[in-house]
Amino acid sequence: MQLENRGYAGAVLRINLKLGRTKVEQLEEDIARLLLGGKGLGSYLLYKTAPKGVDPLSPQNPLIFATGPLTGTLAPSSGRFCVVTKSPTTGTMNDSHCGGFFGPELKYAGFDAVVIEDSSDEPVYLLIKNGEAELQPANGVWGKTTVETETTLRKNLGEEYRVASIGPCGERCSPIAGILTDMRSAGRGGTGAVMGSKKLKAIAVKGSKPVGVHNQGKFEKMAWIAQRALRMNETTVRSLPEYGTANILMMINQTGALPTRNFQTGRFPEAEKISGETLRDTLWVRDIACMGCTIKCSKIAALKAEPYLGTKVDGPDYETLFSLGSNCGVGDTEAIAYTNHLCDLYGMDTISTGCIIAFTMELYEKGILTRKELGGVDAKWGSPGALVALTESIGKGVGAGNLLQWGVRNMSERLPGSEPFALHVKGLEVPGYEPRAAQGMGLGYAVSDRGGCHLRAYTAGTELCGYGGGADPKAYDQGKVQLAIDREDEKAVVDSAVICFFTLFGMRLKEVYQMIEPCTGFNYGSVRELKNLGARVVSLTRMFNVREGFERKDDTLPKRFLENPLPDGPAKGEVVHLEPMVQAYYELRGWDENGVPTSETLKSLQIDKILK
Amino acid sequence: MSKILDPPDGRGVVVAADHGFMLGSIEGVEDLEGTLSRVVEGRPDAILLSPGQAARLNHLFRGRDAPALLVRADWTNAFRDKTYTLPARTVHRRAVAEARDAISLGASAIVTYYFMGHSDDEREAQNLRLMASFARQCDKMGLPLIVEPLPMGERVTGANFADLATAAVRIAAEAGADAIKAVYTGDVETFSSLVKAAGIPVLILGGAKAKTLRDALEIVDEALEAGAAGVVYGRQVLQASDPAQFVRSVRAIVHEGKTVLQVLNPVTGPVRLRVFPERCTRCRVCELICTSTHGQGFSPAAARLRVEFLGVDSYKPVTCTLCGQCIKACPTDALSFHPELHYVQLNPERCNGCMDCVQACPVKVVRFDEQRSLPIICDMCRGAPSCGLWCQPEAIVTERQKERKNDAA
Amino acid sequence: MMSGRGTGVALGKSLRLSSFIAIEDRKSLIVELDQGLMQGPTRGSLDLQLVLASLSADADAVVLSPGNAGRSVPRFMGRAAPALIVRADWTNAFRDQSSVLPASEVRHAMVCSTEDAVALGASAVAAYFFIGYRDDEDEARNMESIALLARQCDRLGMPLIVESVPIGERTAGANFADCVDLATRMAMEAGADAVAAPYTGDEKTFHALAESVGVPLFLLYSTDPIVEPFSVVRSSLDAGASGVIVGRSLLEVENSSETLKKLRHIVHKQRRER
Repeated sequence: MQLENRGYAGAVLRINLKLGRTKVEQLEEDIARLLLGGKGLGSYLLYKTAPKGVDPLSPQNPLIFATGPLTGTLAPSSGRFCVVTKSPTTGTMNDSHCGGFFGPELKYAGFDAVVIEDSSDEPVYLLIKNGEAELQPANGVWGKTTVETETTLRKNLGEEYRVASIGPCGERCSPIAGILTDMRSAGRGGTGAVMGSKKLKAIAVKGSKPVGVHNQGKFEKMAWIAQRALRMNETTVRSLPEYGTANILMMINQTGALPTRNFQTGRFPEAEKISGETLRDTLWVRDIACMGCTIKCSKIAALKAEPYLGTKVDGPDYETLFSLGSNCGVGDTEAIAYTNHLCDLYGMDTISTGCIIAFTMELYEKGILTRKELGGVDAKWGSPGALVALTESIGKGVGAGNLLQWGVRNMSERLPGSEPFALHVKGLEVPGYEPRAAQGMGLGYAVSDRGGCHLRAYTAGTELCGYGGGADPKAYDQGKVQLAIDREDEKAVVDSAVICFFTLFGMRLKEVYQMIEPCTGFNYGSVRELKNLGARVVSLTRMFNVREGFERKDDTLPKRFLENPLPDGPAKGEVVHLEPMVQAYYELRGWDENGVPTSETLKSLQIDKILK
Repeated sequence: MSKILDPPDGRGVVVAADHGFMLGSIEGVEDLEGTLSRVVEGRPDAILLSPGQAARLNHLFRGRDAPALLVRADWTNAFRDKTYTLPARTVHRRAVAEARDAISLGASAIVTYYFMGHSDDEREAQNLRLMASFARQCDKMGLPLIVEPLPMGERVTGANFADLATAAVRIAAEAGADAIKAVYTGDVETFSSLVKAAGIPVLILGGAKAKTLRDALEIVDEALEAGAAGVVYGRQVLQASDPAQFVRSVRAIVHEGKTVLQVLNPVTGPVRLRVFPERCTRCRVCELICTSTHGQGFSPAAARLRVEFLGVDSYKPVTCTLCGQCIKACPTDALSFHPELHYVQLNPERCNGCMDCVQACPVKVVRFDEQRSLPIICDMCRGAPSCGLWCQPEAIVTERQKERKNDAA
Repeated sequence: MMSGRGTGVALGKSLRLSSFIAIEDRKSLIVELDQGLMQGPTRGSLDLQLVLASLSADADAVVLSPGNAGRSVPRFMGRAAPALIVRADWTNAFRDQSSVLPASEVRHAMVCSTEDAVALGASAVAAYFFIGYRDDEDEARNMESIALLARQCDRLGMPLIVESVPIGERTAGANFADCVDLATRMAMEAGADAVAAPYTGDEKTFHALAESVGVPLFLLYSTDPIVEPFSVVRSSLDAGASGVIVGRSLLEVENSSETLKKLRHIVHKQRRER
């Protein structure tokens, strides 16, 4: 059955970069119903396209851009897409999500997803316009920053084009490279490196095909009700719009969960200097939104301090304030915002960049790295100068960057004695919540399908900020594990419908369910069935990782979290009690003791049908 | 109950003013006596107060036309989330008054919470015991019990919220509640199930402040459609610039059968769009709703307005300004101003597809439909612009057109 | 203040309150001599009867524990004597590091009912309401205690004074003034007829508190020794306080009775600039 006018474009574009050939495939309805789109669809395409054991930087690793049925419609905050590929950072699957306008434009151009295969010998960019795709030479922009690339292409092709590009970091295939579009980024897991390995500099897309839905009148009404739900919730109508994700920073610090100096403690003495309230009063000049979004969490900062004067940057957001701020002991917002800007220009993930610098600063403190090895940088805790210098060296791949640009795990393999300070899970640097102060996050990081990620089982809002009634951050019982699973399932649903996670701070899965039905015509019957779709996607991505050789022993955390008690704050003395949580997690998910989904689970989630 | 839910229509408009008890002196309750004096002018059917305030402000309830008094019989820290002073870390609830205390204050009913969703089953049992004990006291004294069941606790998820809300409502009804105060589930369908499950009168909770009067009234309207017996509004009323007027608006819908639009009395007649560029967040919802309203699906490329990007931190909506240049430029008189509502209208039969109108538009908001060979021109949605309605930052606002001496065309 | 009440219960409360809140200026100076119950013997209160004798003349009311109230009846007899306020609860909150057995966790318990207070001839009952406990359940229990006490007081026409105090590190930061507001407001809504609170830190916030709480607000100045120029006392009275409650703060200064006389002068003669 046709999927057009049911939210979908109904087509998947496959392009071979070596041969320059394109193929348009019909999106199968069964797959759409079982996986929706976005993360679900992308993971399926990855599983089917990538050969087992593929080297992530080899031509055989596909790079997939995926949207969902809600993308480009009036569903709140539906201006997103995701990039799915095998990660060079971790070796697991990776879905990296991004806002802006690129996702909807891809749908208007007639495609639900694009699968990029093989690699080009010369730098190219992909031009997609209303159902047609072709490769264009990109020598003129190879080597340029993401911003320059985007500006140049849009000037040459037309301002209606939306451009996603990599920066010099991605061109060098650094595992912390991301893909940027319109100041937003698909940052984590090395998507930019995969794109760089293919010599694909950018994708430019423009489209004018309307997106139709199954029942226009009902869909519009449900979208209005969903927007109303967001208007009636403090977090989505006031706190996020006013302070962005920095809205939680003081609370996280209060609960002793704000990682400071490479996760040595959970309390940052200068937290107030980098809080949302301070930023609102000092640097932020404008609130901006991604397509279709009323939450407008993005803020433009206009920098005033001498070295950075004139810089305008989208940010800094919570994760950046942690990684390039508290985690490095830095309380200087202008320096943090400036390094955020550098990361955008060079095309690298701010979380990983900051964590690499924090790691470096700890090694410097402990004498494992010297000034000479860091290209002369005096990498002291809290030094804005060191922060900027190191970020720049990573972006350019020179000086200290020669070592640092390869990420924490890689660095630790090269530096004897550095392992205890290397904080990553499966190679992906740990994000901004101290897991010893929130047990659920410890579980989330350990079992996440793409390594150390907070955006899978996001329990921090409940454990530390009291959302949804709150939960005891120190508990590691079955209730906590169930909370993590519920959050992970819900996230997988919005990642596959593709709407922004932040909508769930104001509305619930029920509102998502009530939009999906009139959009796609799929009758799931109940909100629970939709949540089940999320569980299906999580077990599907698990199957990919299992195929690529991941086992229970990989679902673990750095020793710092498992063995070193937190020295201060409300969670003083705590370590992460991981084992019992992982065990309960596997049981509740229907996976065996090695973390492999059982055949009953695969059958009941219909994954056996999907993967056959 | 008849003092609260007025017999002719069995419905009630209740104002909750017990927030100070649980949250401290938040906006709207600092000068509670002053605020409530104004609220009373709007003639709500009942007002809910904590025991302390019920005693202090007892005089507000004197007289035949005065509202009925409802007393909050329990206290909880459940709503002190991180946005309030001293956020609660674990949820607790305690009784603070008995039925006989409410009676001696002259109350018409007591109101208590019932929480469901804790991971500790003993806590759930405690919650039930407390509710049951209130029910027994009330039975003995012949005092109605209004229960406010809420999903609350670690086991509440996005997926089970509506089901939990319904279950809690039913349990409260079975335990002996005489009426229910329930969170509106967000749409008519799910709320109807909740009302059916209750079997006793259900009043909806206003909850967090509705951002617009329209949202607040729409919710009342939908809830009534789903079978609710009335509404309990708290902060919307207390924080409103004109509390009495707000109550009157709600009464119009609940007791006088008016529609939301009738009460809102929106701009009618010839309208124009006023743009506030500094408010624009470039979300482009205006472009999406434009094509959707005109039956074109979602297609910003075909919208009758657009968001212009002027720089990293500068955007503005560009809309039809009713300048009439397109009308002047049309060689076949296919375009004209609507005689009463003064928007640009197209007569497709006269159009020859020359695209002169597209060229003539000084702000370039006239587009062209290649397939049908017709221009796409803003028609102010025939008097009720969708963009003005959906633009949440209010960067686009619908206004009445000023008086004109004669037609521009 | 207590407008519109026409029932017998309300009259009882009015009457009793007026016995220590002066009708002319609606102000009161209250001395707490109940420290022994909570901290054991403290300097200045070793011989309670002596202290009572030296301070009675200048106090409008004295707060005593139930045990001592019984033993001190003669002090409260006669028209010139201060009013008796009975402490209805106990806490270890004030047993800091200088105490013989410092408290590790703040605890609170009720020690007598309103009926007991009535039998002792009290004009009011006093109880603490703390917020900032480490375990929120303790806050809920404290609220429950004062609410039930309030219900008893309602039935017997006995005024209830709740001393609303933020404690602990959760309330020690920039949020202190907000915590004072939260505690006093919750106490009033629970049914307190008057509240006492520590100084919020500045006149503006204290004034806002006095305006919004709607019942008499006393400054609770019971810890740091109270010395001239008594600026906090003056500021809070200017900001709308209905009086001052002093305890340890008074007992630990060199000449308590001199100090009390000076305070009395400020409380009852202080001209409000507003």
